[in-house]
Amino acid sequence: MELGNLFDNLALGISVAVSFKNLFYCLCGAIIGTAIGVLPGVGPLATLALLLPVTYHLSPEGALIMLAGIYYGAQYGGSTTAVLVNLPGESSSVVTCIDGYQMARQGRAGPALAIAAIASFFAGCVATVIIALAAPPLTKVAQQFAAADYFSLMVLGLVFAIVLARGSVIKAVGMIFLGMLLGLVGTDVNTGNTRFTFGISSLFDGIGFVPLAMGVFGIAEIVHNLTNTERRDLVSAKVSGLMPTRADIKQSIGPILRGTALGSFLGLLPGGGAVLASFSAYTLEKKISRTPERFGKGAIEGVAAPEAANNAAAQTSFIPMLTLGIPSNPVMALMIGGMMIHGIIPGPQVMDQRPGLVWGLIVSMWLGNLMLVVLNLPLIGIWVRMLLVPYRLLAVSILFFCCIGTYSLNNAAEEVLLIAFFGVLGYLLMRLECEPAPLLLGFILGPLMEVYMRRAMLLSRGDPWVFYDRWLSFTFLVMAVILLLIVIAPNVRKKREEAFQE
Amino acid sequence: MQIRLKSGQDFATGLLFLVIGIGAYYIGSTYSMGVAQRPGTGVLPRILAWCLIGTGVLMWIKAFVGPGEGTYRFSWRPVVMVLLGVAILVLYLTVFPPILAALKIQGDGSPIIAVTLAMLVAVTGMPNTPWRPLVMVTIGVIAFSLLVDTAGLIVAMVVSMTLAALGTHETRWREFAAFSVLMLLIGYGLFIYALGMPIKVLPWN
Repeated sequence: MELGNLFDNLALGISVAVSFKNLFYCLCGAIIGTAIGVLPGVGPLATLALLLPVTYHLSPEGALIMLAGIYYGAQYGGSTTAVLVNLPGESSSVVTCIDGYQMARQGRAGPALAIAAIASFFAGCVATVIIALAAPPLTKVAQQFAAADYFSLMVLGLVFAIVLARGSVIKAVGMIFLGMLLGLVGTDVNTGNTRFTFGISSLFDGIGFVPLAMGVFGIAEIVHNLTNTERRDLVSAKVSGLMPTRADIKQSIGPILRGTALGSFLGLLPGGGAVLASFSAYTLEKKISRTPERFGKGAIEGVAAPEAANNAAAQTSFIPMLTLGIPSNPVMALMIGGMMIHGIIPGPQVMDQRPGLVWGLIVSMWLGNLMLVVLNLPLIGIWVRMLLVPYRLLAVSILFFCCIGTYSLNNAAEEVLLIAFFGVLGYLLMRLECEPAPLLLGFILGPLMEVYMRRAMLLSRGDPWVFYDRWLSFTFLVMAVILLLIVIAPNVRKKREEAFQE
Repeated sequence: MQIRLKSGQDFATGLLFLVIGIGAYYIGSTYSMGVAQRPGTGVLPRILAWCLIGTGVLMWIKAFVGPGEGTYRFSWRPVVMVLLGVAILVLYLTVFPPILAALKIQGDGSPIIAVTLAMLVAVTGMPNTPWRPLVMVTIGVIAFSLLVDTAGLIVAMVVSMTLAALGTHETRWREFAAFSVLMLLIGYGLFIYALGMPIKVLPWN
């Protein structure tokens, strides 16, 4: 019966995703994603933030399909520049540079790119199936959740974000608190009192998600990149002979499978995502390889595994978002932002109320992956030429889209002012080496946590032990505490630092 | 002059958390706590304020006695710039309201501008911070928001892009001119023509 349901669901998804409009949005997303993946200094977060206002004018299905396309498209695009010019277009393709570029220097850029694309496509297909299989049962579980369980789950999610954030743990903790505090600005829904608005009427509705994300990820990034102008050397490696040899494929099968499995799992974790997945997959391959000395000198495994892992993780990170309504990383937080602009409140009810949206999105991911393989390999020459666009022009165009995009949301000039504010704040945080990702998660989860906390307290008639009495909630909280203790423990901390160094 | 400070960065981070935490506590102390069954507006702000203060203190402990070698070289620049930022805020709070009232400007955005400028000044006080990109890009965004309602999209865009272009000495002006025309066409095509946004385009419409 479950299987029958699955086919019904997929059929529904296909009917949504294959409509002309949605196919077009999927293609747009994939192309834009590849483009920003190729361009260093323009991350998927900034781009998603820039395009949120545009998606406001699409149908919710079209909006999510396009945003998703940008995200996984960026994983593809990032690997192209990593291999050809030793420049990671995205942070998730940093490791691909190591062996991919070496392969290119040995004249094997073609096979490296082909394996990267095949690995990504395979991982994307598997991850899509995993989402389709895992989402309905998880939604069932999620419907059993009471307010207290949700609250505790979010606490766990935030703890994960701390564990997996780069750099100092204390700073990550502080960033979460700061994000939650920013989330409280505006009118309190329960009591109607305003908080931290300083009498500014445009803050009564709260700080907009778009200005915050654009300031912290868009403007701050422009300023940072304009201050550190690194020279980009275009070592245009000739791409000749795309086809990998039989030996290449044989060597890559194992890494692709392992990378997919590892990536799919890490994508599920809150705070995880594509970057972590690609790093872990590379480390794993190097550890289990019989010839670890080949890594760093053009080992094809070092391309196949991380590329499979980052794409798998990019996609499975949709699972917590779709089933629980909880973002596992900042990109998913932006997707939730995109849903909320359309008035869809994320959570397990979305699956029941808007099955077309969820399944359409899932099917579109598979279609999008297919488009990316078709797009990427023949068009590599064009993508590489995009690198010739100087950053001084990119900076201007990012600024342009930040301003006009935010303004177009509500025709409110004050929201544009907020971008300026968050741009300066974001740059400050960047210089203090405080990761903005936990801030964004806190900003999204903070207000939700308050709602669930209040609901739980109301249901328990003011008894705070409700978080302890419900076993689900209790389990989440215990897991959170254990994780926190582990990360504070000195020797684990050292290991963690080493892991992020690699 | 040298003080025993392991990391100026940790110190600054701690300061940021402490200032925001104490500020949030001070402002939030007027919010009602409610009862246990119906937690009020003030519960989470107070919890978060305490957490931020705690985090800030931890950062300071780390900055003064934490691992790391050497002493931090004290310099006046950050101190002066932070004080200058504070001065801007004080000036704004004391001097500007009567002026704004006299001119009958309903500057709803003016507190945001004041805070942003104050922060901008303080941030440029950090060591190794070239001021030009940061200042020009920020001013570009502010200019856009001030101009767009009155002068329309085209003027606001041209002014803000030009300001941003002034932020880097790499700008080639001929190239920039051509590129900004292209951007305006894209912006107009996407937001006004394709999406049909009701945005004022030219000063006279």
